[in-house]
Amino acid sequence: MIQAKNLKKVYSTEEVETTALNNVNIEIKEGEFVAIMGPSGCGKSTLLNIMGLLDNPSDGEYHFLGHDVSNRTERERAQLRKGNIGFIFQSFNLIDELTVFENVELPLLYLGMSADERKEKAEAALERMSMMHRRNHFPQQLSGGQQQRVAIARAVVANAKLILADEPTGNLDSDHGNEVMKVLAELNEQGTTIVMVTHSPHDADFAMRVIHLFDGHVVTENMQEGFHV
Amino acid sequence: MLKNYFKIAFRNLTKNKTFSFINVSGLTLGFSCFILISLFVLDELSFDRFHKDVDDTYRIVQTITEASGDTRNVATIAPTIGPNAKDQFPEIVNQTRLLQIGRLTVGNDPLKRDYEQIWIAGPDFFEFFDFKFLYGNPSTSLTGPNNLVITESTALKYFGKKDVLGESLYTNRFEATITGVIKDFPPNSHINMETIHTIETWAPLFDEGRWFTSNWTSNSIITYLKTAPDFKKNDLESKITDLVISNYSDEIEYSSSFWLQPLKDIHLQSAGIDGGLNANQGSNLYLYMFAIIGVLVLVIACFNYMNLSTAAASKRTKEVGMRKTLGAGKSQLIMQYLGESIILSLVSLIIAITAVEFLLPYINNISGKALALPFDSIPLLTILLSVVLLSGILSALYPAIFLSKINPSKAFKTDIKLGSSGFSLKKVLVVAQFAISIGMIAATIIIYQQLNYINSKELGFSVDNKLVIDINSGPLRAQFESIKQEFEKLDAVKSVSVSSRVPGEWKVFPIANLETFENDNRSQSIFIGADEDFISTYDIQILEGRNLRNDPADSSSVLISKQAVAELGLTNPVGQRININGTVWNGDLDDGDGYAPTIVGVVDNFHFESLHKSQKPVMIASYRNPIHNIDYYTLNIETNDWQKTIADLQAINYQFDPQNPVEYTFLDNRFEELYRADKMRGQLFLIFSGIVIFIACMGLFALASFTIESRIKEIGIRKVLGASVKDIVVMVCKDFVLLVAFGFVVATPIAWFGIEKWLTDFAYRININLSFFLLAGVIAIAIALITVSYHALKSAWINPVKTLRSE
Ligand SMILES: Nc1ncnc2c1ncn2[C@@H]1O[C@H](COP(=O)(O)OP(=O)(O)O)[C@@H](O)[C@H]1O
Ligand SMILES: [Mg+2]
Repeated sequence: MIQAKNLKKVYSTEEVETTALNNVNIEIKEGEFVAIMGPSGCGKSTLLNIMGLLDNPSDGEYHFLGHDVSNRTERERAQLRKGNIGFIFQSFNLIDELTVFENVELPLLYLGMSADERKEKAEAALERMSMMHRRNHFPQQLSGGQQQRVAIARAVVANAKLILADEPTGNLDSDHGNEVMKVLAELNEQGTTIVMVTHSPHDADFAMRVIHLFDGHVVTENMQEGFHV
Repeated sequence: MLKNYFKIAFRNLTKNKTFSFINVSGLTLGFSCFILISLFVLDELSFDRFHKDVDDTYRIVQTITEASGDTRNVATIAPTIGPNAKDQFPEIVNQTRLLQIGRLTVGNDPLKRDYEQIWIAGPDFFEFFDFKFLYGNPSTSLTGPNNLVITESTALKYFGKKDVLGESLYTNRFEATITGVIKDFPPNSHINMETIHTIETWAPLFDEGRWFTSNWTSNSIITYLKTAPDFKKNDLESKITDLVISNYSDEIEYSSSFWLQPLKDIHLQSAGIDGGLNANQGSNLYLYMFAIIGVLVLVIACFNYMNLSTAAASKRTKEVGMRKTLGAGKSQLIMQYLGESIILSLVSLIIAITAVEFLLPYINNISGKALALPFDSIPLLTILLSVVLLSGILSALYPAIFLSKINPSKAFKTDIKLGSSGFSLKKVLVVAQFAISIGMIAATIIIYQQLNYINSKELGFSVDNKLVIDINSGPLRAQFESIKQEFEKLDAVKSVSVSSRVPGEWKVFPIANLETFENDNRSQSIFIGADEDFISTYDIQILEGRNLRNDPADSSSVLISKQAVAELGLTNPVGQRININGTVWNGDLDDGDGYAPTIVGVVDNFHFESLHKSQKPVMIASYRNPIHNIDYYTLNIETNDWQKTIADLQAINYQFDPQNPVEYTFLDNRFEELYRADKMRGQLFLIFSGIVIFIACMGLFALASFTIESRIKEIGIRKVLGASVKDIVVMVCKDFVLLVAFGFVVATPIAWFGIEKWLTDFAYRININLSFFLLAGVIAIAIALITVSYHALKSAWINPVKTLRSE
């Protein structure tokens, strides 16, 4: 599903050049659950953004679903992203002015679906995340764990093949964090590919494979015990 | 403490440069407009108030009700009324009269002669009013024959110096002796004259002066009264009315009443009053309109400040939270905020005053006023300072109270969003700004449409390439046939006509009371005496019958217009005789003298007057008619060298009359002149609506920047979820467009009402419909979109990775 060869990402500002990624080679197959770990500032989010087609690499090759997407325009990337990739963020990134239902429905809106279709799919996703009873609430009225479940519902509502999660439990206490991890594991069992950035070894245990980044390099790639590809 | 405030204020202003720039420039524009309009309004209100007895001074106005039921107000009345009323009614302390009787050729140097209007004033005129004398004695200068008072610029014009007391001045009627030189009449005086003559000089013309003491029915003389402090106005008015009516003969067919118009109302409230003297006449309607615009522009600028400060306040929550934690009280915080905005207002005011000083010469040039910033004027200074304080306070109050309410523990956490709910002050202000802008754009569009309409309206005759030359003297009038022949010999001259009046409003048109012998119908027609070339020179259509002939046998032939035929109800007009039952001259009835001409032709209707007035029926009589002598040549000219043509014409004129200078006018200029005031209004509206929409857009620009900044994360999320650039731009702009659209809804009925009122001033006018306002709305929305789309596009192009990275 994902092949990255010699990925490089350099951020240049007026004062400094930061090499966030250097010679990263990664391959992720469909149905995998991969955790990315590493100290703060080592390039995890940068990698996730490139994988999620939010950003172009400065150098190297990146193949997504068989397309070479190393240097696509923003519009092309957005087109490829739509419906294929779901994002989950540490800070949930729900829109405060919209209800739970409206938040979940949003990606379908941008896919141009009809209202009926949107309603059906959004309700199914909320059902799946056990959040239907809160469909008319606003995000601020929910607990952190509930908010993240809504965010996951939003990530899966369009049947994304790949879910990219950047520290999904980072803002949650351990109970709520566990809840979210279980949901992600379930999704993975049902066939969704998941790439997750995390600091927590406990969370990483849910993944089949853990990639360790340090200073923009992949240092180790371990298969978790009990998982075989 | 105070120093600390200033420091913070200064730093805040310099830190947010765009914000401060927009605020200061918005307020500066607002203040500049406000100051200019205040100066204008104060000047309009100051008319005639320099007379020390202004509150006790009145002008007598006559309301005439014709037999037909029509009423007119006339400021020129009979000469006997003033003196008799003063003698009989003790509440009248004093009276004085003014009479205008045509023009004189003036000037000792034959080459520098010019025409001056003849104003005759009673001997007590300069004691009655407080005009300043430079040389001479105010109480005696207007007595004795051939004595003349002139203004200082008239003295400079004819003598090259001001002190000309006792010197003599040539006029084509008499040798004048200067008995007084006065300062020029101030620009804010409704009375404005160049030369003022004594009654004795002109008495021979008025039945040896007896006319002044015996005529009770003429409408010719302006009469001012001064009253005792506790007089009863209504009583005096009916006493004057009774006095005049008791002196009317039985033959008078109209009824009259008299009323007193306060001196201080003459300038602004004389709409609908004919005759009299009213230099630079103003109008209450426009005064109110300008005052409203002045306040609106200022309010719009304050709205900007209020909006931007409120938006910026959300960014200052941390500073304010910190201050509160450190023990700052609510009132101290409010004070700090007010201080900042008052400083900003003051800075803007200073820039505005400088700008106004700079602009005033140009504005005076256009408006013909002598506006100046009187730094010693207490009222103006008070107004300006209160406006600064008020706008400072108003602008800052809302954000200040908002900020002071901030709970310090919350302030540190997040940026608090302001007014994101459906109804917020911010939105109301934007709606108000755009409502005002749309109203003004619509007004501008409609004014220009109306002017266009007037310019393109068929007048029924041609004004192009016409040169009009006045027949100003006896010799010219006597030899007009030879002069006409000389004119016609010039190559450039295609045709020449003589007539008693020409189109446009130069002098009053005599109105003839037409009666048929066939039925009881009557028509009040404009009366023009003309030769046979008039019709071809002006390109007027003859519908029926034939043209006039110069032949003496045709001396009692007339043409009448279609409208006159209709009013008279004639079925077979050609060949019929019409009785002229007197002519009205400037409201004065001249009894008929048995002149009953025959209609030889019917001409198409044409507009001889401004389109502010409705079309009148016209009678064109042979120039040999007994009613009105010829007064003008009209020359149809085709030339590439106007200068030479005019020099040739002058030479011919000089040959026949070396005494009097030639006076010529281009007819099309004269017609443009009729709408000069309307044009100026159109331009002013264009300028003001430009300013208003500019200020509103600056506000919108900054507001969009704040609003979009506060939504930048949301925009990022939406983009990650698949929103395209177009989706984002549409989403962001939609909100602002909705506000502008709402402004349209608010503006339309109010502007419609106001513009309708303006249009009633025209007898010929366009009809307004929604499309004008829709156009204004579309313009406003387009401008708003352009303004907002800069920020919208910028935000939509940002890679969401950047905006969502803040964890
Ligand atoms: N938009 C950016 N501009 C400049 N530098 C950036 C940008 N995004 C990330 N970086 C830098 O790249 C490096 C990697 O960042 P990031 O991928 O966010 O790390 P992580 O998610 O592992 O904490 C850091 O040094 C960070 O400061
Ligand atoms: Mg990160």
